[in-house]
Amino acid sequence: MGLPSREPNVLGNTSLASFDAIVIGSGAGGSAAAYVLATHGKKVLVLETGNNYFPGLDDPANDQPVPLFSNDELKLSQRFFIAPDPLLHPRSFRQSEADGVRSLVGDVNGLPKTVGGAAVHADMKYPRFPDWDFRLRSELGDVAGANFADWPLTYDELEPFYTEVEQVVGVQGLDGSDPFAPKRSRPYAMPPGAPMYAALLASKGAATAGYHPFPYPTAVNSRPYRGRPPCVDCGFCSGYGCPNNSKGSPAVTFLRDALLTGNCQVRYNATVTRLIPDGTRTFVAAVEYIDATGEKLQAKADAFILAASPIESARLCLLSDPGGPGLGNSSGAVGRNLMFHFQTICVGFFKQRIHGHRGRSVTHGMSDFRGVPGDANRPLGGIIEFGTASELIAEAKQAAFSLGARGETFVTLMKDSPFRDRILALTMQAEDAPQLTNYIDLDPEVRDVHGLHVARITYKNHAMELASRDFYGPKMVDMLGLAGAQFSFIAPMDVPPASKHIMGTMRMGSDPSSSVCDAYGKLHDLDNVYCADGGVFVTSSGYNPTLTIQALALRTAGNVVFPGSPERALHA
Amino acid sequence: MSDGLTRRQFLKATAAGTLLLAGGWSLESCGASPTSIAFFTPHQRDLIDAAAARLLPIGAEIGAAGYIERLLTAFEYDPPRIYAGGPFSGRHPYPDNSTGEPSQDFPIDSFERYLPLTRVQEIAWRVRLYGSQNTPGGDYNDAVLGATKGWRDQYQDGLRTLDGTSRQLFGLSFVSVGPSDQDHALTDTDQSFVGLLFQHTIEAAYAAPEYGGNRELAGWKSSRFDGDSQPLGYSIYDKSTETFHQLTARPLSTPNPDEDFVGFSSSTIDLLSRLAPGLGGQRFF
Repeated sequence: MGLPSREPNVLGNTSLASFDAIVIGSGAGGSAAAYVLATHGKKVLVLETGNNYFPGLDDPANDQPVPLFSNDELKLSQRFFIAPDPLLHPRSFRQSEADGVRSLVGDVNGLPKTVGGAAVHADMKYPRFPDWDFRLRSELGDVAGANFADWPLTYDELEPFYTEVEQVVGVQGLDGSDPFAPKRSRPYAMPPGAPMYAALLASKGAATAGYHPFPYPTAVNSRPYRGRPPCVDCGFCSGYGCPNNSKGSPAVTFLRDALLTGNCQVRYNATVTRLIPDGTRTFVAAVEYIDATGEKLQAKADAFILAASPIESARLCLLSDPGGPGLGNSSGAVGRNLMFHFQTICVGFFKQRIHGHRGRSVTHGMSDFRGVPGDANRPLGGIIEFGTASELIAEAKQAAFSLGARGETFVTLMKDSPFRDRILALTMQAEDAPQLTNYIDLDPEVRDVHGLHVARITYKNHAMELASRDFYGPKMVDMLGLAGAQFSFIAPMDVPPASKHIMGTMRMGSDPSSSVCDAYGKLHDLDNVYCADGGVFVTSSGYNPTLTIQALALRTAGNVVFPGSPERALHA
Repeated sequence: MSDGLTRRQFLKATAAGTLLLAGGWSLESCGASPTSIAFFTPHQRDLIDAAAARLLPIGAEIGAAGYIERLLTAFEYDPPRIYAGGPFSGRHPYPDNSTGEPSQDFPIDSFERYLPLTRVQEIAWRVRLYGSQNTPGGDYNDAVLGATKGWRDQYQDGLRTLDGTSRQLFGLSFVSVGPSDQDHALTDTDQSFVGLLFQHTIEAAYAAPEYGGNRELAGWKSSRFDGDSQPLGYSIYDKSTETFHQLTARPLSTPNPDEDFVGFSSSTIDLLSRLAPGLGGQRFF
């Protein structure tokens, strides 16, 4: 079947000539969808806008690819190796329509573009959502100004798909350590790896305050697992591709499995520019894309799966209907209900070096601040991540440009290293209320390198998020004191939000007048188009989204293969 | 025997990669070449090193001018010198998972092999270096956002202005006046250029040495940073005991063995206290 591919910009079986499905985006959702389809005999074409940095990903003769990622801050964090380059892919932002056409242009919540998608850069925190997260509207009732709804599926329906993801990507965790976690049908795939010193200090502070810290469920190997090695805690995790494949990122798990079936072909540096509907506009006939050389091409298939990330999938629907409301948008909901996790970050500085730059970025966390719906004494917040330190060049730039350090003072500060070697950051990934007035549309003027209108983000916080920050922020500061910090504060809010957890825009629901997709991710308006990224999320929850994106993508693709009984597609 | 990428597997995969990626990836070593193409005159190089030394006292010794020149001439090389290769630098050995100790086996330095740019990456980096008006396909937002001036022009203009400021103020070139006059000139000259120079001086000091700065790892040593740590990392899985071994001198889970628990210098406390005003929930313990 011709593996590995010898064609430039193509991975997988190059002899495939016709496709059952085209998946747009090779990230968390797209890879999981391609895995289901390819392992069940469907012929799949994946179109990825980014480059491939996993040479040998499709080579059955190699145990694993040799990544071109590295512990290189300049490359990964400063020079846009996979991060969206704001020159190539700008976005515009405003808080509300009152701000005018836009208030800024640049990187607005851009996700890395590369084979394997944004999860390649993530530190792979993989908690499940609890069962009540899927019925938040019922739990909360009406919330003024917000657009809460129940999900069209339950935790119990999703549970087997959660399990399959955890087994395929390899999630480490400690069963029973989080008293707020939902019940699970199988234990974690691996026990927790070695703990970070900073996280142990934070855990001590949390336990002293009466909270329940636990080793964070993480899709990183703590043992040799499915041909990939254990993590060495190199310290370059969040924001970095993994140099030794111990991170269970989509490329080296789902996508590699899909490629090795011979039923999957990935074309990278291939940017989809529009979906081409049939004359009846009830289905899509083809996609148009720009290939690595800049040539415009078309590709046809029976089914199309949008997995370009919430903002980009919604943008593609809008780009596909110039002058109209957008493809699949009879509800008017495409692009709306945009959610980020509302991050409250508290930092503590320590007298000793706590070297948070060694390790997996975050090894521990707690769910005590996730809250309880309807309990005024436990407002909805989110999981707390213990850890993450600044990188070296980032610390230097902060010293130079935020603090104005120069000369000897600068060198002394770099040696003291407040932001890298002595910092403990607590990050709350809090519920972000869905609002119809938070949305993406097309900027009327600003374009990307391909000449296409970029996404414009209109986003403002709901009072609910600000209240949770006011409620939990001071408690986080106290926790840092109990952990041994000398000095602690609540970091200022980012505008636009810096969170890379992006959800909504393609909301799923049973009512076609208020949602874009059905319970299986199929667009209500189109018979053969599905969404398999975080766009389908109805609410944001207060937990890292990638595991849930992948569980939903498995279910959506499973339903394409086995309509009405997607669980038949499960392997685990 | 390691469960990570072994040297043998790495070489095997690299050899395979050379074949299958012909046209996609060039694995020829370029970074090791001692020759470099000049962009600055010797006087401009002296200006940069003198200014960098005022901003960041190790700026000259780490090779700021060399780093910046390599960046500004990136497209004189094939592949362009923008993205160093991976996965490993060769500064650290592979772990040995059968003993839980570092092995004696070091990978080659693949940072030295620059990676080819994609078509669109090349547009972005040409816009940065040469400007949007001088880059085919690079002016797509100029009508709305204005043109982007390239770094090469910013350096030529900025250095001329800096030297001119010094001559105007003191009647002498920037390189010939004393430290406090240099600081004065840096404050009086174009601040957007000083910002660009400071940014690149920081990168020269703290990026991997394969990019042309950080000579003898002076930037990392002066800030007590180990730099890249792969493939060894900070924990070694021991297969026989299913536990993790840590490095005595650089532990993951415990304080450093030489930790003094003394805290920050007074100048750092002064700087940090600038963060405090206006921050909610601030507390000293």
